Amino acid sequence: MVDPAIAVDVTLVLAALVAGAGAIAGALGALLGLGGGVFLVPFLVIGLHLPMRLAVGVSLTTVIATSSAVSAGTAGRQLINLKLGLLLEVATAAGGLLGGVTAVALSPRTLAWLFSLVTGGIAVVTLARLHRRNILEPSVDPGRWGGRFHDEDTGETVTYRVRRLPLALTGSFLAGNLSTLLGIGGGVIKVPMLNAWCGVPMRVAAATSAFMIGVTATSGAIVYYGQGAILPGLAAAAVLGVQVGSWFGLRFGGRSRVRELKLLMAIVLVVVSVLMVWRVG
Amino acid sequence: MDDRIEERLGRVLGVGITVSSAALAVGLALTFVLGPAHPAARALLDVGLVVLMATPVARVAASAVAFTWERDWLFAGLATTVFFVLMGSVYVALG
Repeated sequence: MVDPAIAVDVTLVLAALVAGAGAIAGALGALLGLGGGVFLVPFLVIGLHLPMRLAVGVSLTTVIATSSAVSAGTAGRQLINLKLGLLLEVATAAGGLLGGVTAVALSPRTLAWLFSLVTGGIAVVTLARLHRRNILEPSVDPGRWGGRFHDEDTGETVTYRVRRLPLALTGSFLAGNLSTLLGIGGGVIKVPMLNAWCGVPMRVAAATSAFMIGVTATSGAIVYYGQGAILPGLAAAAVLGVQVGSWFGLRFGGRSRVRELKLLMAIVLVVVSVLMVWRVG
Repeated sequence: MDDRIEERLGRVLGVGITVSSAALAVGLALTFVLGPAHPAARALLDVGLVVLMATPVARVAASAVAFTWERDWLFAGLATTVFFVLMGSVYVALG
């Protein structure tokens, strides 16, 4: 049952707008491994005047749909590093559970400013490293956490090793923390972090993040569903939009150049950074 | 992990998202044709949402089983931990 206090009438226009937003989120997910919650929540709250809880509920279902669609679409291409994903997911879950502790220590305003500074900083680093690629000789041992995959863009088999694992764990913990506090999936932190500092190629970082955000969002969505904060009609519209958007994203993502993906990532980070400060003032 | 297992896990997700999208699409269409209170529309939307949320859980459970099968204890442990975190959410939702 949907909580009557926050329920709204799902009109055809509202469903179409939410589906459109879902399509953009699905495309971003397919290209960059982001759930899109960081844009979706403000769009639903500020743009469509939906209650915050309802917006987060729709956002969480969107992230799950994006994650499953992208993971299914990239299956068999060795892009998802399941081992790294599971390890970092444990850190994210711990961060999510301890989100309440951080909330006591920092005001939402301070948190938004910190988030804005972090995303802005990562944008600069991503731009500075636009032409550097995390690719090793095929003969190199990928180690316990690394891997190999076939790059459709260059037609080569790519080997990579994971570096600075403690940093990746810390970043994932913080992403989980922010996920609980701000209602986002955390992909916007994990993907550029894995790519810029931990030796993970962009496509692998995106696909692995797509796997992780689905698990993070599912854990939140189940609780929201139990509380009646997921409006089925709106969630359905968003999920159908995601299907269309991720289909296009997967179709064009494999062939696009990594440099273009990184540029898109930097643009997204700058927009998020500005949006955060704008929201809290 | 074996690439074939990885591919099979991908198929779990593919089936889940297809079934859930189909139920949600028909459910949403019925909402507009028969009204949001119609039992068929509501049932289909709920089935779609539950399948959507169950899909990543099934995937994590399947990878826990696959790693255990391969006696890869570290990753079996990690996958099981993630599975119990998800079960914790179910517990909170039902409680």
